[in-house]
Amino acid sequence: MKTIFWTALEIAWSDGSMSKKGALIVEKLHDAMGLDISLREELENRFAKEILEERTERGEGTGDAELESWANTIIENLNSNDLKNQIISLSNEAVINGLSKEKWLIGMNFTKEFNQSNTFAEGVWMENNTEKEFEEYLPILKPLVDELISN
Amino acid sequence: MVEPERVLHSVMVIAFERKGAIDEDLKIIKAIQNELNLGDDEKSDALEHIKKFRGNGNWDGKRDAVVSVAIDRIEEAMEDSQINNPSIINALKKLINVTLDEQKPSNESDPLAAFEEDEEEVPDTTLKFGLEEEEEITSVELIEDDNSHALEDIGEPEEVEDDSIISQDSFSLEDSEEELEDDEEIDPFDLIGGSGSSNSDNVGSAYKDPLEELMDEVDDEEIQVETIELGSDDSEEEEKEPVKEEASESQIIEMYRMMLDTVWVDDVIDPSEVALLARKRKDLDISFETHMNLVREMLEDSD
Repeated sequence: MKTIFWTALEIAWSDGSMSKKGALIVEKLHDAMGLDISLREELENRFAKEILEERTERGEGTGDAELESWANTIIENLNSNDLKNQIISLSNEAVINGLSKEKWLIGMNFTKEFNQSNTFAEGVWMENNTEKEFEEYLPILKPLVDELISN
Repeated sequence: MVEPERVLHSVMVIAFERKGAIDEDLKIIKAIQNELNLGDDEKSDALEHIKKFRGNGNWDGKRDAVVSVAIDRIEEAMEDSQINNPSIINALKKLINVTLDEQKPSNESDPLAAFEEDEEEVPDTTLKFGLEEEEEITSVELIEDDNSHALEDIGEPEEVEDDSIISQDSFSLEDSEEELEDDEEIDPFDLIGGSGSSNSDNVGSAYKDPLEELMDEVDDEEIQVETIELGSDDSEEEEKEPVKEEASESQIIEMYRMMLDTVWVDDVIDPSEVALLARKRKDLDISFETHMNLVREMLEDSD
């Protein structure tokens, strides 16, 4: 499953090149996420190897427009007061659906990028509960919702 | 709430462990199926799972943890009134007691004792008194292996010992019979032992099971008396406690790890299992950090 930072890299490099603006947005997102530097290094190395190495086309970094809009939404979500409760709610729901080891790792890795893996773990293991119910999850959690609940 | 399929699975686990072998024809299985409205498909699934992981009864070295989880699930199902038939509840409680009693002789060195609920630790101490323990264990083994002999061996002294207990049991049995819809008499120990003929030798309404009597003997009154005796011996208690604490910390964590392994052995964890582990962490004073380390180690091991 694609994580948030991986998705950011994909959008930034969508035409085979990354613009300076795109690079700045990636940095902004990195800061907002509080992404661990060694984890970022690991992600970028893997991205370079798996995606960029094989790519031959070169564009002008036009992905930055889409990246800006998407990153703004993600940053807004990261600052949302509902984020923690939504993660707890999502993890509870995932357990109700039957959480496999594989999905546990997916959830942990996904939320780790923005320093919420502990929230996810606490939700799964019932160390933390939320009374709140959410009809809709924040866009930042959408990939995880699709992976843990919708499938 | 525990999923009915898991309750059936748990009952099958402890019933088979009591019997020492897989016997899919045990009456208690059918009774639980009927009680939980489960069909043969669910039974087959549970059976298949047990056959896959049980091995020769060792459960890959996790037998005690498997049994503990099964017992917890059954107790939770009874607490949640998923099982309402008094005869079945009676049978299950006794099956659980017998299973727990079997583990008790090695409790001092066996950290699994830590997985028992606090309330159940009171009878634990009472069982350290030689005579009662021996009698109880003997009776269980006899019933399992050879019911007719057990009845001959134990029946008479018990009848002489306490008539009031006998009459109480008789009443409770009659009550149960009235609640049964068909003409099949569900006898708790018949259900557990899986042997239909042996208990039928006990002549209808006068039937009185020696195990039932012996278990009733370990009753509130007796527990209170012995607890007081233990409590009064302060020096002995003080000597024992530090040793137990020292020995149990790493063992408790190891047992918790086994429980975690067991709960996730089917690769899927559900809310009742999560709740069970959360309760155990609280009971055993295991931090969430320790739990997370164990989860990580477990996942690394499974890779």
